[in-house]
Amino acid sequence: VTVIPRGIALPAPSPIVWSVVARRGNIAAAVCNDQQIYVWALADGRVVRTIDLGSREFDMAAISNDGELILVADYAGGVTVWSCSNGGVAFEQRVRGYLTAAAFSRDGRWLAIAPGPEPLRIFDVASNRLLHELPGTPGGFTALTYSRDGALIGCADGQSVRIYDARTGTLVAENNDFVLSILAVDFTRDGKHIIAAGSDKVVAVMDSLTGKTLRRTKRLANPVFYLDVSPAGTELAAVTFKANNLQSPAPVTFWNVDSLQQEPAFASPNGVHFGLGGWTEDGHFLTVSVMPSALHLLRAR
Amino acid sequence: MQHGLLTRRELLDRCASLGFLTVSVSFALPDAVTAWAEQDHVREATAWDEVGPFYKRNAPHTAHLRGPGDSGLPLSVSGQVFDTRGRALDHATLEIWHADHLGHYDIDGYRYRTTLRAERSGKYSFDSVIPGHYPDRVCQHVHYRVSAPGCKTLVTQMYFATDPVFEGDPDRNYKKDPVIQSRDLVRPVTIGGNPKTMVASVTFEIVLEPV
Repeated sequence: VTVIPRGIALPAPSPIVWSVVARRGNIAAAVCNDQQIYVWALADGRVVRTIDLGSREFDMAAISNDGELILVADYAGGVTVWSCSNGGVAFEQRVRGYLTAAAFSRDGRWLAIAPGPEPLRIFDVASNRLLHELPGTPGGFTALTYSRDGALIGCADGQSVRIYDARTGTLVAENNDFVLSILAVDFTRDGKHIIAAGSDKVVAVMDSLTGKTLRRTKRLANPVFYLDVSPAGTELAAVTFKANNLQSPAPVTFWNVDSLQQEPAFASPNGVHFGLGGWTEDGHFLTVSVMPSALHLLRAR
Repeated sequence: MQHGLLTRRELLDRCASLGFLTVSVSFALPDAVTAWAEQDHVREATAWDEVGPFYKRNAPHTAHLRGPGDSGLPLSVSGQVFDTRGRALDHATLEIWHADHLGHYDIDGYRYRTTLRAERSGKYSFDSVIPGHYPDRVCQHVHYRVSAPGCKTLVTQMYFATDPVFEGDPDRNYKKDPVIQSRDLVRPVTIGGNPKTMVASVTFEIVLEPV
């Protein structure tokens, strides 16, 4: 591992396509052009696992909070979860089309996957058992998140935010206040509120039980691609991007969750690769910069 | 059920129950009803595509998205909306949005966005410009969100066979954009007019699944 200002650099043997960081702050993983997933232990920067994707055309990835499970979906409808500790396949499904969103519950027991307009499916990871199917949405879900206790699941699409009871699959609440696509959702620490944002350039806090909008931020300069509430539940981070180029990073903006008072923003010197960092359990917000030959993890908080 | 009429399956079931339909002993009634009902699905439903980050509701009703002096190759799109039984959907609503010729979406206003109501026989048309390549996407594309009473809402995208990404052979190369679920979404382009008033014309028919 190389120490760089505000963070570390993890050398990658091939250009990076996508990367994820576990909330525990112990593991980072990257899908690379050579069709390998490289998994690093952040304590010493060693590559602890390499997973071969073969000829699969990479669609998206997700990682469990503890860094033990890595999901990779491909455009042919394959969905695989690997165990980082033993390299074995922990979960496997095939879907029609491909995934537009996926999320592990915070304890890694459950996995929600959204295959395009098909029903959203919730699985028990260990047994591969389908627990619930929730109604799909035309054009697919754009974002999924679990509440910290796993009781609720929040989903967003082009028009609405919906909150479901994750254990029964029943709809709890819905919000249709956004005009443009919603791209990011996260629950507050206690699950009483869900926060959403997207191309409206406004972050809205909603009641999880009624769906009613309670408060909103001022209009931002850029759309929001990713939202994350800090482990203590006090800070909200929004990763933004420039509308003219989804790959072009804009500053990470922070607010106090309760007051929505804005705090100093962070602009990565190298450019932040959106949505792939986040809060770690020790209270740091990591941003990820994908450099040609390395993954840079920088502390924005 | 549509417009108060029985579906084919309902009609056949009722005829069978009243003795107006009998099936030979080598053919079970449920199989016959299923096979007959399947004959109604004369068209394949249009493939879905992602809604993307820039959908915006409440777009104005206009068939003229191209303004005077707009840069980019003028585009004329027309088509019809059907259901899988081949019936034209007169009441279909089409929400359409795309980037400008440089690949930029207008998210602060409604440029290159419209809400159309299909005319008689499910026909629709609009004028615009060929969109540019958005940096995060492989292909030029036009987004559609199409809804009609009795049908599932469809979100899809239309692509251009002339897109350089396809290297002149969309049959072989349409999967270069991995989100394209069907070759049928890549439409041939007809160039008309004269060199000074050239217009690219595209036809895109949309088929919705029943609820």
